[in-house]
Amino acid sequence: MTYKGYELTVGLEVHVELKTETKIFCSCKTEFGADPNTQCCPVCMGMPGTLPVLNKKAVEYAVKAGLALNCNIAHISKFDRKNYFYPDLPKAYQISQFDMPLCENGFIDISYETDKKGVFASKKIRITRIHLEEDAGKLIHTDEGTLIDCNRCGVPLIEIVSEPDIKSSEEAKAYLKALRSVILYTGISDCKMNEGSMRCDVNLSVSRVGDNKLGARTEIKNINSVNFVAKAIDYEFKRQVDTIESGEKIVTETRRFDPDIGKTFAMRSKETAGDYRYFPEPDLPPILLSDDYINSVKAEIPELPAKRIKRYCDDFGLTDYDAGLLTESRIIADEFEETAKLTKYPKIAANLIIGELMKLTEEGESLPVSSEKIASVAQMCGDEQINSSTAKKLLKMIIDGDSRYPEEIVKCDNLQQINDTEQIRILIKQAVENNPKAVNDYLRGKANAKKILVGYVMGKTSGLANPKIVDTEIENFIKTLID
Amino acid sequence: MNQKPKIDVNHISQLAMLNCDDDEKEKMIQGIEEILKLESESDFLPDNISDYNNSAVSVYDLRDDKPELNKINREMLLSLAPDKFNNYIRVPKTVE
Amino acid sequence: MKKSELLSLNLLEASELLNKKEISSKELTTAYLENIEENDCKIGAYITVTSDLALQTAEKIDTMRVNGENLSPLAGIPFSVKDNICTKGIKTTCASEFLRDFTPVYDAHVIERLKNFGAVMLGKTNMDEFGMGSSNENSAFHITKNPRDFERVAGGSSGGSAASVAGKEALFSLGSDTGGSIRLPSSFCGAVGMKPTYGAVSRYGLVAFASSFDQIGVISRNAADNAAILDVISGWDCRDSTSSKQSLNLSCDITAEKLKIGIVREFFADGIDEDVLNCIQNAIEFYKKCGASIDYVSLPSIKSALWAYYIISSAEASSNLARFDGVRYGRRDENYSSIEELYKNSRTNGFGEEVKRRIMTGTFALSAGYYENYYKKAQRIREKIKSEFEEIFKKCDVIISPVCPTTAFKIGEYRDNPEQMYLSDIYTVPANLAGLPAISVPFGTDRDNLPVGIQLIGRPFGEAVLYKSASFLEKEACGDDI
Repeated sequence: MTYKGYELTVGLEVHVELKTETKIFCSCKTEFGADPNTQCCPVCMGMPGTLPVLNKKAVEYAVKAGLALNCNIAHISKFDRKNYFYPDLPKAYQISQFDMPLCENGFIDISYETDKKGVFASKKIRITRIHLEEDAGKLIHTDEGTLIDCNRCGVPLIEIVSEPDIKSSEEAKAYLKALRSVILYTGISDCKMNEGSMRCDVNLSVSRVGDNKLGARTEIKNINSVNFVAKAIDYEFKRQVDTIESGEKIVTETRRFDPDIGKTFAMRSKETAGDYRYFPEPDLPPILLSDDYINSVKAEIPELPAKRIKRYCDDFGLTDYDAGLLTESRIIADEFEETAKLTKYPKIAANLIIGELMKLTEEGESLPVSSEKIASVAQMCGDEQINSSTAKKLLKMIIDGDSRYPEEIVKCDNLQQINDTEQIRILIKQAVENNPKAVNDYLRGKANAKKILVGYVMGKTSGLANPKIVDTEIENFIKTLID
Repeated sequence: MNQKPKIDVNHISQLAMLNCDDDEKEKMIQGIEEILKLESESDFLPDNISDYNNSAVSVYDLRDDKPELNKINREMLLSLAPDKFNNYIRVPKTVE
Repeated sequence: MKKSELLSLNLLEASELLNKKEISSKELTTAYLENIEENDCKIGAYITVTSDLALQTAEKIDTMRVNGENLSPLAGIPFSVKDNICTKGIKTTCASEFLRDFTPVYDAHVIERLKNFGAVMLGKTNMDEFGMGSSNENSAFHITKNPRDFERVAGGSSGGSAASVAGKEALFSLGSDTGGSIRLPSSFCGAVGMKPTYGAVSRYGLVAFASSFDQIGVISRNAADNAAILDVISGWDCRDSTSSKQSLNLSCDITAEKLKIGIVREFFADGIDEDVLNCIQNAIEFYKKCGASIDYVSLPSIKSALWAYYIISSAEASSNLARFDGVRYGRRDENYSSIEELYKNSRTNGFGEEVKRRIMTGTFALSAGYYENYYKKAQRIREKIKSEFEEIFKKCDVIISPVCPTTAFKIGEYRDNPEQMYLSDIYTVPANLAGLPAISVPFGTDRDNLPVGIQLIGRPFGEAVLYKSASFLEKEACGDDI
């Protein structure tokens, strides 16, 4: 991605809320959407005399994320205080991790669309570190003042920091999607950007193409959709280049993205002022993580998307793209694998799932048809007992409430494909007799005219004729006409 | 031993969210210096600053992720707030 | 029993009489409340007196005893609590304008313990604001006077606690010690004050000053009382991640002749008052006479201890006190038109001078460009001091030293001399830096009849040896045989 001879360097910081039952430093619940200030206690409200107590599960989830993203896990890790004043921060410091984070030096593979439309490329995005920290509260700005809800104070977060390896908004989108997919597989978060359980900060600088020196950086905070991240990057890239070209300097500052206007604006909040005076958190002893512990967490990670994609391509002959679609959701990928065990035609099953069922499935939900039934439909289709439009019809009937097994439906409703070549020939002869104009058009080179003949046969057979045989026999018949 | 540092009172008081009027600035600097001058010459100091392994705790010994029935309800917590509005704590509008 | 007789009972004596039902808790509590009523206007040990609550508790305990229930030795015993320890439903001010009307919605761990064991809380005692001070002259409300001489300070920061015990306004008191805040006032007022091993007593509910130094401890009439109370309040608490799972074993049968006493050369450099020095030397002579072995040892990094203490404690305090921002509780200034003004005005007008000074110093020590040479350097000094102590405790059981270079000074004497005030802590801060238990036990007086406290420092979780060693001195001071 270049503009006026400049190229882009982006690093992303992604905050992910962990799906633990209790907060990171106290036993308050973490449910989303509760009434304001009903999920707080003296600890997360920073009352005098209270102390943090670390949640074991938060550590486990952070380690899981690190392992899923190919990081080294620290054997000893500690917390630090990040000091600043803001109304959503009860203690006036955030307990975070500074110099001894839980995870470091990982990476994730991404597949993204290059500047040439339709051309895809792959690359590795390195992950600098992943650390644990506590979330701040929620602020609602009204004309009568800013209202504070402490429910979110202390919800556990991991911060995933990428190296500045991202060079375009497409790469950024691909990175976020891939990251989200991996995190969803580990089960540690529901990554709902619109609910705030996954947030992205963009760090962006520009430089002349070929110039190694990086320019001044701006940070765009708290973007809550993948598309907005891309838009923000596109806008900020142009803005920085235009600013430099007009002779001005880039101010190192924090900005926010306004999705309605599509522009970034400088933030005036004092919260963005520097010097956090990090120092080790004296109320929490450092934690020791043994190899046994790390291995036990690793064992709980299901097979991740990248590996599955390769397996589906190798074992089932699926394309990269289709395998990618199936593995976006772990639930669907698991269901596909179940189905694949039950039929000799996993590729057909994949097409049915991708083409007919995924669009009817809400995020995080199971497919609307069971694996056995999908397998059964795929099997009949592969065995040429039914044709592909019958297959789609069957699935729709099942979704609409027909509780019979697919084979039953086919038998009782007479949906078997007609494979009888003789019967088809007779119908083709009729088609030709009834559609002389179509025949003439076809003979004269209009390829589409064949459809009318096919349509006639299908009409007469209620769509059950074997399309391949119909096509072959039409061709054969036309040949005889020519001869 | 540290040289007498230049104390940027304006910056420090901003970080600490304290007012420091001009007539108080000198007094404040002197006050800080009273503490800083307690320093004496010190000998060689080792590089490792914390003995982590002694005071560190195993991840297995941390708190279980089980919610606790909150004995302190919203009413009690908010009763301490200087200004509230509809079950929220209120402060002047923070400029974004 | 006459009021004066009741008031002169120590804890174990009172406990025995209560158990035998020869006195009632109501009598005992009433005697204390009446004494507070009469005399506290002169001493100023208390900020809040909870008479109704105290009598209620006393009566409840008396009823339970009459019903034949089995009660702990602390049941029915009146005590006071330093006002930086949270007590549910009862104002906890830390002697600060900022928390003048603050009422916690929960009890500190140690308060829960004492409640469960049936002790009777008389009220909350005065202190230096947020624990910052050595004389109790830094309270936002009033100065606590030394019961032995009203023109002199009680010491700080647990001045009110020590004065309440010495002035017979409580049978024991809970204080807190960050750099000597239990031991110093105990020494000045003539009480026994123990700062336990770091981690031995839960800090849950103690308003934090310097998290890696703070410990709640006990001020009492004698070592035996002190041990009985520490036994109840110590122990692991899941709500304090720095609290230790190692429990204190307070029974110890070491004899005086088996004791190995260490004298740190650097503790006896210049600056100690002549009379204080005499008392220490008498103590050392006494131990020698009993057959204890005396070893002269060195703690070379001690000269940097005071600086390291003030840098680290101020740094931690600057962060711990940032939560006092006027948003969710405490004093919110009336004048503000922006969030920044709310913060600055609430804090500037809510904190006293010494508190602001420490916050500024601590902020400075952590700030960019200074962190390495101040905070980090101080931590490295701290590590060195820890390891030097470890070496000493390989051959010694107990280190003996003065608590303070002087006895109680006059009120206002150090007002223009902050350095002298800070130097009062010179012998007490090392134990806080190293997390070691340390006790102050009265032994002798100076020419003005002011009490002198002897400090004994022990190994981690070595409180039992300290109590035993202290009890030897006590018996000698009373003229009893050991």
